[in-house]
Amino acid sequence: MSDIIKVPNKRQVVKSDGGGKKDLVQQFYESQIYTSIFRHDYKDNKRNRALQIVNNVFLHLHPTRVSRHAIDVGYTWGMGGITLLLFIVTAVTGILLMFYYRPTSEYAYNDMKQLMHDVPFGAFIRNMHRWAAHSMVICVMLHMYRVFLTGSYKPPREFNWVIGVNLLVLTLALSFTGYLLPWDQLAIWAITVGSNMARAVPFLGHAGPFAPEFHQLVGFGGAPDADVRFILLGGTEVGAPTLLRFYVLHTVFLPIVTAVLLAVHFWRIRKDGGISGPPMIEFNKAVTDASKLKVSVVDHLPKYEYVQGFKQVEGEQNFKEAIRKDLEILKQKSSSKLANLINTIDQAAEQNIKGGENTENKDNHQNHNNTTNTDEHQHH
Amino acid sequence: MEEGLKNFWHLVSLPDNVPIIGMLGLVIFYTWQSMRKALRNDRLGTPIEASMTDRVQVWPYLVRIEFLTSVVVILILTVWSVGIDAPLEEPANPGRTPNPSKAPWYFLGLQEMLVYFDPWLAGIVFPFLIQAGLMAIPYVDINPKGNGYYTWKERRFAIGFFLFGFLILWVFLIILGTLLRGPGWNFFFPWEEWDAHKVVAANSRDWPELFGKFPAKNVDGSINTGHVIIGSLSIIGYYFFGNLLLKKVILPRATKDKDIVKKLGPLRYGTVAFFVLTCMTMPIKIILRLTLDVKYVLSTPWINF
Repeated sequence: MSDIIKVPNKRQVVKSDGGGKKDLVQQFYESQIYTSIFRHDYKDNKRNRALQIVNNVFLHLHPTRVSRHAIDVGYTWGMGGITLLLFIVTAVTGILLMFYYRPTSEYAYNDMKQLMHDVPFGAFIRNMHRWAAHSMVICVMLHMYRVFLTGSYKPPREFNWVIGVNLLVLTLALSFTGYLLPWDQLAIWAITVGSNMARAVPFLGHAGPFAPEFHQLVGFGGAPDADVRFILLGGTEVGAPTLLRFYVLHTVFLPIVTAVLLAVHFWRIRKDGGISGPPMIEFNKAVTDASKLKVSVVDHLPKYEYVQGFKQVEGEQNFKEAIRKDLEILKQKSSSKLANLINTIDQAAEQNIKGGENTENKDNHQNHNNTTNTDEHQHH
Repeated sequence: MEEGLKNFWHLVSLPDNVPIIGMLGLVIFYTWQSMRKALRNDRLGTPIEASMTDRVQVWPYLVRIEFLTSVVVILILTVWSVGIDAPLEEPANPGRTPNPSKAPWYFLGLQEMLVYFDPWLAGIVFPFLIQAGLMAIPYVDINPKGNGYYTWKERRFAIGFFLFGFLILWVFLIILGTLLRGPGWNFFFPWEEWDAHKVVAANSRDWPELFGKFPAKNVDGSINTGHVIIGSLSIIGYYFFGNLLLKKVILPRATKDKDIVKKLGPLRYGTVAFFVLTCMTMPIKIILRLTLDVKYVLSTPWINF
C-alpha cells in the first residue's frame, strides 16, 4: 500500500516542475498530452504495469496478473484470441467490401468482377476477407478442441462452453450466409445444397416426414412448398430475394449477435476465474484472494480469545475489571526478554498485513525489495 | 491413374481447399501434441501445468504474446491474400447444376451423412443433436478431475469419445467429402479418374429384407407388417442392448468406477446414453451399407431410419 500512496499525482508534478531543463523524452512523458492519454507515468514498475492494463478499455479485458501457465502457448494454443483477431479482420475487410458491393442479382456478380479487377486493392481485400473467414471457422474448431481436451468446460465454466457452442453455430452461419454473396456458380449451388436440408424439416418442410399431414391440418398458408425453406430463401429456390436476405443477415444481424455473445463470452472468462488451470493453481488463487481479507492471527485472534476467556470465567459484569488487573500483573512481571518476544510478534504481524497486498515472487524488480521477504512469509 | 492423380492434386491445390489441408495439418499436430502432454502428465502424477503456480503480470508478458501473434497472423493472411486469389466462377445460373454440387466445406460431414440417412435425419435432426449434445457436455460430465490440464488417464471415456467424434465423424468426413467425392457424390480414390457416368450397382436393400421376404411395401402397396416389426425391433433392440453395454461394460471400465451410472443419476445417464448411442448409429450405418448394402433399417411411408 505504502508505495502506491507515495507516488504523487502526475498532473501535480507537471505543474510544480514546469518542464524546463529536462530532456525532450522526459518532457514528452510529462506533457499534458501524454498524461491526459495514459493517466499514469512511464516508469517501469509494477504499479504502472498494472495500470497499463486497468486504465485501458481494451486491455482491461485481462486481469493485471495471470498464472504463468495461462501465457503458455503450448497450453492454450492461442486459438480463442486468434479467432477474435480474425473476426475483427473480417469485420474491417467486410466493411470495405460493402463500399463496392450491391446485393442485387443484377449487380452482385459484376461488382465482384470489378472488385477483383478494377478496384484498387479490391482483390486483396476480398481475398483477405475470405481467407480470414475460412481460418476463423478452423480456429473456432481448434479452440473448442483445446477447451475440451483440457476439461475447461467443467465447473465453474459450464455456461461459457454453452455460449461458445452458440458462437460456433453463429460462425458457421456467418460463413454460410457470406458464401452466397459472390453470386457465382459456386455460391448459389453450395447454398442450394446446404439449404435443401430445410425442405426436410419434420412437419415444417414440405419434403420432411409428416409434411402432407401437417399441411392438411395447419397448412403453410399457400403453396405446399411454401415452408421453412421458403422463409429462409424468400422463394422456392435460391434467387434474388435470397441474396438480399443473406446479405442483411451476413452484414447486420449475425455480426451484431456474434459481437454481443463475444462480449458475454469474454466477460464470463473473467468472472469464472480466468483461463482454466490445474487444481494447484485454483488453490493458490483462492489463497491469494483470501489473504487479502485476512487479519493476522497473532494480533487479533488471541486478543479475542483472551477477552472471551475472561468473559466466561468472570461473567458479563466483571470481566473488564478482571482484564485490567491481569494486564497490570503482566506489565509488572514482564522482563526484558518477554518484551523482546512481544516486539517480534508485533513486527511479524505488521509484515503479514503488508504481505497480503503483494504476493508476486517472480518478475521482481529492484525497487521492490520488501516484497521478497513478505512473499516467503506468505508461502509458509 | 495418372489423370486421376492429376485431378486429385488439382483438388488439393484449389484455393478454397488450401485451408482444409491446413486444418488437417493443424488437427494432426495438436492431437499429437496434446496427447503427448496428456501422457506425460499421467506419468508424472501431478500435471506439469501445476508447477507453474506463480503469477506473472499481463503487461508485458501476455500482451506481448498477443501482439506478436497478431502480427504473425496478419502477416500470414497478407501473404496468403497476395498469393492466392479467392475463386470467382461463372455467374450464377440456376439452369445449370454443376456435378458434383457440394455444400460449403464445413458442412461436408453433414452432406456425407446424406448418403446414409434421409435428409430430415442427416440435415435437420443430427445437426440439431450435435449442437444439443455439445451444450450438454458440461452438465453430464461429473468427473471433477482433468479440469485445467491435459490428461488421458483421468478422462478416458470423455476424451476417447470426443476424439472419435471430432477426428473421424467431423474432420475425416470433411476431408472425404472434399477430396474423395466426385460426380454424383460417388466415391473416387485419389488415383481414380472422375467419371461422371460411373455406374454404381444400386442393389441396396432394407435391413428386414436380409431375414426373408420383408420389403417395405407389399406388391399391392400395403405396408409389410413383418418389415415394420423387424425394423422397429432392431432399433429398439439396438438402444436396449447398447444401453446395457454402456451401463454394464463400457462406462464402468472406461472410468474405472463401478458406481459411475449410479453417480450420474437417471437424467444425466439417460442423456449420455441417448447421445452416445445415436452418434454411433452413423458409423454403424456406414458399416452396414458398405458390407451388407443396407439402405434403411426401417422404412415406412412417413419416415425412414
